Amino acid sequence: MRPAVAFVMVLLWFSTAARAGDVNVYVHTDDGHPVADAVVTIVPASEIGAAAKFSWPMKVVQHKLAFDPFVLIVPVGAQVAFPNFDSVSHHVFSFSPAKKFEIELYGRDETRSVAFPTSGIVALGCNIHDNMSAFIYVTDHPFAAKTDAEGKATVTGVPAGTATADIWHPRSTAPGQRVAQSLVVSPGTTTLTRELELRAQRKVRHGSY
Amino acid sequence: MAHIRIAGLALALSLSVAQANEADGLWTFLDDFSGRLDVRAIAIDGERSWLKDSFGKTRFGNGEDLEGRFVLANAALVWQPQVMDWNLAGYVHAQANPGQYNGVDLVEAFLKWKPVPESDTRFSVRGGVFFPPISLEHDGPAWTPTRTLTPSAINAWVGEEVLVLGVEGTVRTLVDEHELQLTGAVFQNNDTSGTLLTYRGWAMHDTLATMFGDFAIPDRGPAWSGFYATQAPSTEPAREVDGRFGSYLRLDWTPPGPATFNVLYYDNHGNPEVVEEGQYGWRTRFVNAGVAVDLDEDTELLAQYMNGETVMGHWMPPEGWMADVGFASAYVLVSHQFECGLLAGRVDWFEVRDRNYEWIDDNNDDGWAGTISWRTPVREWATVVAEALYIDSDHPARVDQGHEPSQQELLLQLALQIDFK
Repeated sequence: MRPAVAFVMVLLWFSTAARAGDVNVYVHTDDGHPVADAVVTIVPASEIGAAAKFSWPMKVVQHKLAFDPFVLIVPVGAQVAFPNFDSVSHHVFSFSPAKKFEIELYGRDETRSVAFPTSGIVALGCNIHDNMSAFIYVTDHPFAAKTDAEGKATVTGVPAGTATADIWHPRSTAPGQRVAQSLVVSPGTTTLTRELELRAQRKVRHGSY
Repeated sequence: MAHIRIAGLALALSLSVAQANEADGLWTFLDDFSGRLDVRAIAIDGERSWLKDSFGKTRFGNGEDLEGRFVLANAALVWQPQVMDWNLAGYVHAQANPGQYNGVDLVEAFLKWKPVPESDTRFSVRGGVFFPPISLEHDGPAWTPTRTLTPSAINAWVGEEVLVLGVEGTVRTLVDEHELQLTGAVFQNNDTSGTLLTYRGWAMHDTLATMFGDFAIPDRGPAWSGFYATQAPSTEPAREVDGRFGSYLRLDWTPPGPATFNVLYYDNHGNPEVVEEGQYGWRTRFVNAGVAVDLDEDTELLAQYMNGETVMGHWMPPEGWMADVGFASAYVLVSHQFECGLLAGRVDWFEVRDRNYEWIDDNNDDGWAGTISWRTPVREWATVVAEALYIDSDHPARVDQGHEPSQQELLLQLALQIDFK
């Protein structure tokens, strides 16, 4: 190989795969309201072979008769803890194909943990409190993050180059509750803004019945 | 009454046994209890209360021009044991207040079976003593309204005369993002339902029927007492007299979006000709329709409309049943959540139409009411509620007690509600 060709190849290598960038994704509704709890996954066009690993705690807390967080992204195989900080018992369950399980009644300051070996979306409920709901997003992609209250998700360390941004939200009206968009990730910071149409929130009103 | 005692005892026994099997200590046992203490400072200008044999539509009137006092509105204890493995949950509500017949009495007591859902279709069954699912306002502890202190006329009546001993099944499913729920029940122990509505008219208060209690019927004078010689001077709301089963059916529809709708049909199948210890069977039927809408994130609208009829006594030519009335009521309640509290306003309309023998007992009743309520939490376990309730009604039977048929009542309440769990 001639040195010039080798030099160009090295240059190309540095300018793309070897260099990583951050992707800021802003998700909003058509009337401009930020969309929180949307899961943003950046899938590079070329295989990267890295395993998914996330920095946030692998737990869903039950506090004040609600699950917290409402959406949790976990890697395939993760063990997720379900600590109960309420004074009442909860009975956590899911009938989602990705993980069907139930944790029978457990009370204050107790915890249980469940493994999630298959990728997919796991909808959580409590059999005692109908209006408790949450989602566990089990993925094998390493570049994922969820939007905050301002509708912003930051996915760090994404290899530069062409990629697809996949955005999922439990109330999205799109097929499978997800939309996809291609983008080119640059070595610095890449910004993507995406509008999402959401179904109106359904309030559970079963009272004490 | 025998039925209800047996049912209550059986339920308490089965829950205790189940509890003993599962409890791993006193603390676990105590965790299943919660309670509500409600004390109030009240000021009232209006007629003597229906709880004191008169026609006043509120809880507290003494018939004086303007009076104020402190009252114990209610002390309630709720036991909610849960039985692992069986997906069973118990609910027992006992309470004490000076307005009820027995110092301490039971209100609701039921056992609910709710299997863990395996799909979007889920079901549950409950059996015992409970209020049918009519009120949109009562989602607080111990069957209390959470937006105002005083419930609407419709739900005040449900609370005083529609307590059943029965078995109720519910199926809920999702069809194209539309949530549908069907609830059906068969029941007994609600044969006297309609007595107060007929003899007293509508009322607005938060006094509840209890399993073993009764409510006085307003004193109507000798002509009335002669006509209804076999009617006891008080009514027992949870009473079975004819051995027949009643039933109700409710459909809930929640389309995608901020609104949910429901309609319920109730028929107690009472035999109006049966009388036992002065307690008549009343044939009471009604339709209730309800809607709840989130107008925005912090503003909610609730509305209900009820229309029904009831008859009792013997068929006496030429005019028919001894008592035969149609009744209807509606309300609209709007509440807005501010950072520091909840502001709620409600307008009620109500009427009872007497269909016969008005010259002996005129049971007509017409009126409207306005309620404004402000609720603010002061501690995690304490809430202060201030409420003004104004009722303007026309009730010809007031003449029997020497009062004007048209009365205006104003009730101001300042409540401290303490919750423990």
